[in-house]
Amino acid sequence: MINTIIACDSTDVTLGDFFLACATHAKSIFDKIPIMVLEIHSQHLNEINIGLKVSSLNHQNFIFAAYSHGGEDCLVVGATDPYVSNVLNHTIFNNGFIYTFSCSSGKTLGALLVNQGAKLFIGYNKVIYVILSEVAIFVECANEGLRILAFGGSVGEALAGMTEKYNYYIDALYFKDFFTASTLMENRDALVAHTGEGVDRDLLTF
Amino acid sequence: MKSNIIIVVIDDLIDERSPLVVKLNQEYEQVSIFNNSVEGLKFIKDNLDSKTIVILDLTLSGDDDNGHIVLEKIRANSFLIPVLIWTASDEKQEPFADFINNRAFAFIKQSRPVKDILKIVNEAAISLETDVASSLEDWLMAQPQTKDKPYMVAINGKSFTVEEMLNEIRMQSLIGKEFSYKLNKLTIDLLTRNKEKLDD
Amino acid sequence: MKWNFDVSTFKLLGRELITDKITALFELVKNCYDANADQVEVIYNNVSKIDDYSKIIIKDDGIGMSLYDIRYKWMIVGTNSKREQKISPSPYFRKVVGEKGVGRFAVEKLGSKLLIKTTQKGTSRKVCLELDWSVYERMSEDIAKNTPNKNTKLFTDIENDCWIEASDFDEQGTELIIYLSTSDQVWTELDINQAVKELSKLISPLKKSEFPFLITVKSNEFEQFKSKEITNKAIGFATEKIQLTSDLTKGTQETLIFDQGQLLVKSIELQNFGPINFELNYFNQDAKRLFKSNFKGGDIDGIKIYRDGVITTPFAESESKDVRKRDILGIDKRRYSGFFDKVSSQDLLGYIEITNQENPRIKDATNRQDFLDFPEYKALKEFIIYQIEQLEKYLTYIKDEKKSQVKTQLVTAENDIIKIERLLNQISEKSSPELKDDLKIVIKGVKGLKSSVNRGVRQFTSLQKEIVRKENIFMSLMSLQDYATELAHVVRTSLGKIIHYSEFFKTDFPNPAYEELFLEYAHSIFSEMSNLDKAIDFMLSYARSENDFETFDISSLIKKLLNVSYKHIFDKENIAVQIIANDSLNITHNKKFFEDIFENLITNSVKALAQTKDKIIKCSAIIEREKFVVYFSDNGYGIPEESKGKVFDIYYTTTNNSGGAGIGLFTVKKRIEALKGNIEIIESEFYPVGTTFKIELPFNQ
Repeated sequence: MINTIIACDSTDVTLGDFFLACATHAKSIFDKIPIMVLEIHSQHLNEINIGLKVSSLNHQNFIFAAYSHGGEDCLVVGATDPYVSNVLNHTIFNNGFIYTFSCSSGKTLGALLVNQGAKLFIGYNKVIYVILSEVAIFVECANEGLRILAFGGSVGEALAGMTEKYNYYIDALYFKDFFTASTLMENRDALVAHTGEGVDRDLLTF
Repeated sequence: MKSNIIIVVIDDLIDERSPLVVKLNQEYEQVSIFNNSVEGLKFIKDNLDSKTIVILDLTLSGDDDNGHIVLEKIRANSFLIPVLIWTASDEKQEPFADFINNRAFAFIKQSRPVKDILKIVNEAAISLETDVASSLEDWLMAQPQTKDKPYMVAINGKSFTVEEMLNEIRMQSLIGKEFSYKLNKLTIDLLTRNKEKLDD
Repeated sequence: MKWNFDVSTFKLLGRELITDKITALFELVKNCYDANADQVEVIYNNVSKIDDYSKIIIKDDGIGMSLYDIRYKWMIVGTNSKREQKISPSPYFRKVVGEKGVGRFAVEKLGSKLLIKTTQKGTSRKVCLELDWSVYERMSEDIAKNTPNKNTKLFTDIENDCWIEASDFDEQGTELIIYLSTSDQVWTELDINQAVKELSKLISPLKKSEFPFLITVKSNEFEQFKSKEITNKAIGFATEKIQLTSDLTKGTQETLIFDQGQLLVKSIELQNFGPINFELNYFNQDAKRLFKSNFKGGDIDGIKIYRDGVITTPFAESESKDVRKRDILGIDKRRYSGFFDKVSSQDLLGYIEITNQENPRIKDATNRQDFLDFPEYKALKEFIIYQIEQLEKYLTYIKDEKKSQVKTQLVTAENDIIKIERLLNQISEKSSPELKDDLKIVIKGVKGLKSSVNRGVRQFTSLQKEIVRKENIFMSLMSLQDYATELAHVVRTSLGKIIHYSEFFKTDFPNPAYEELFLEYAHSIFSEMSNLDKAIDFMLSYARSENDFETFDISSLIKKLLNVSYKHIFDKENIAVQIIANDSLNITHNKKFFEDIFENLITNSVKALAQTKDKIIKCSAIIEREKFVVYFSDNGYGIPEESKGKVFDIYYTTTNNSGGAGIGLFTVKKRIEALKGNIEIIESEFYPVGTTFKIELPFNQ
């Protein structure tokens, strides 16, 4: 049973390769677990398609991982076209564990989706940066939370784990390359998670 | 050990035999003198990758731009170069506002003793060595990446090449200043997580 | 045996009297003026390049000449250039301006062939005469080549073509048609411009003129002279100019009032003598001279009354009698007030406009020498005297005005020098004998400098005390405040350098690595001191007392300097000198001041000409609009483009300037600026080599 969707804007001009790397890395995590993954890439990333695919999954817990550009209230493909937004398909994500690495969507979209029934939204509440010479580190940090969730960890553990991962690399890098270290730090500080009202994060698992 | 900061002197009445230059040469490896602003500016532009301090005569004569305009032209390239303005004329009659806006490092009367002038030059040198933005600039310039390929990209689409980042830092734009700010924040973060001690 | 002479004698006579073609033209037009002409046309046809149509025509409507006049006056060669003051025939009574006997020489200067056509009123005959100089020239050449024998024709043998044409009975006037045929008879646009300037001296600057004289210049080649009526701006030289009007409808009359340092115009109600318009021009000594040199046809001779646009009889009578002007309005009769200086009718040029209708009680007396002594006329006289008194108060006020002075910067300079002197003495005690010797010279220089500055301080202080200034200075000196600022700046610049050199001694001496440098610095200190000394000397030259002022003509001064004072240098260096200085400008100032300006320029030129083959120095001095302009040129080395802006800086030197110009041009510029003038480098007259300086001196602030 497919219960994971990976949305990836792999053909994006500036960061397509990076998103693809994230998607590939995420897939490799799920290889070790009995989870079926559906990949949706750039040309198929649109609100209708997402709506269709997600609707077929949302009668039970599912994971929706997104690697693309984003804004405060949407996830976009090609940096401009929303495929998840607060106007078109926000209602279909009930039972969803939404995990993103994109700018700002943690601010408004995240809360909205959880409000509409999603169980979890992990994302970032402002513009986040990637240093192209250290892609591997950024990918690893990006997916750490997903890894913990996939292996059965709770949301609380996933968040703690992500913070630790970021710090690990910051500490390893700052002496040689303070710029990357400070960028990682900024990303770490922009990390947010939304869960339903009254939900205990340490008990919520996938 | 002589400092390798380049001292650029733009003044039409000075040469290598002048006492100020002789004294500067005792402490700085390279002192370059230009008698007109056009050549001086070109040298500064060509040497943005090195650390420079500029001593600029306010009263360049003839058809040259006066000191105010030369300062503006230097600033069009970078705010990170200390510029010492010096003049023989009466400082009380000189318009000042643009010096502040264009961040002149100091204003010196030419008749001050050389040792005072030297002291101010050394202060400029220290600030160059310790200024965060200057350090950032240095570090960026040392990156092996090709300077015009995207280096840092925001996940909302905005991307910067190393060259572009250097420019933002030199022009001390909002983004440029943010880089310095981030750096400072990192320092504080490390300190609070006890990864670094202040006296290291 | 008869006295004979050849044409070159004729020419020689001419050369003495007429120096150039502009003077020649002027003389001919003067003759028209003396002949009571109302209008003269000066027509230039194809004068910039010689062809068959090149000619100059001078045509007037004056009284003309008869055949007798031509034969026994015009054709008689006499050099009686002196003549008593004479008046032109009635009713014009113009003061005669032309030199007697000069006309024919003037013509020879302008062209090779002359055709005169002249007629008088009351005849219907026009006398025509043709003179062809080229015939005489050829003859002269023949004589030079061959030994003269009895067949040789002489100047006096040649018959000139003469005939009669018809004219109107009432027509009068003379037409001179001068044909140009050689390249030195060409007129450039600049030449015509010069001529126009000269000719304007014959035009009255006053609005009202009994018999106005109108000159029109026409050129078929130069647009600006297509048809140019000549005007005279001499009235512009007035030191003070006042215009008072009246308004019938409002019932007001303007009057002057001196109040708190200002000369104001106030409106009061109409006076009992009726509404008048009054224009008054006041001339001080120098303005008077300027006026006279720019208007040949009249004098500054007080205030006159015009009724309905015509001069009233009492004033007209005094003019024609050419006796000492009677002081009809009583301006000069006033008792000396004792409080402020009096202005006389010789200082004023003005006119009062009245009308028959509105001022009926101003009536000419039957003896035609005065006005009837009605109360209204008395009141008018008092009114006029009152205006003059306001003017006098104002002039006195200006004379007495004190300005506040600044002195502190000079004193600071003095203190700085004392410090340096001490420092040098300390160094000298520790130095090697060789260095000590050099330093001795420096220390001596410093002492000299100290006393110069001290002198400056004292001189400055004494200037502060001076209250009365000579009224004749119309080119003002640099203000005392500027003086102090300038001096302080100069001193500070030099001192800055000296401080740095001396400091280096203090901090780094001794050090064998810098041995050469120390020697060099010692010399530099010395030369900076010398420069400083010169600069202060120059500054002090401003502060001469008024006893050193005299009245002189700048043009004459230039001529004397170039032809006499520096002649030995020019001869030694083989420099050809060209001078054009016919306009005169009298000023009252310190002569040495001006001589120094030219000394500097000449010295610079001599240096620049060192390597030139055919050396020329050229100086032109002319009056252009309201400025006296001097062009000073040489065809020497020239000034490189990038240095043109810097040559006037205080310490500009080039390696090419042997000996270093140093402070010379700086002082020239400062002197000229002190006269509110300007100096700049313009494109060289000898382009592509050489240098031309353009100096402008205004004479009305």
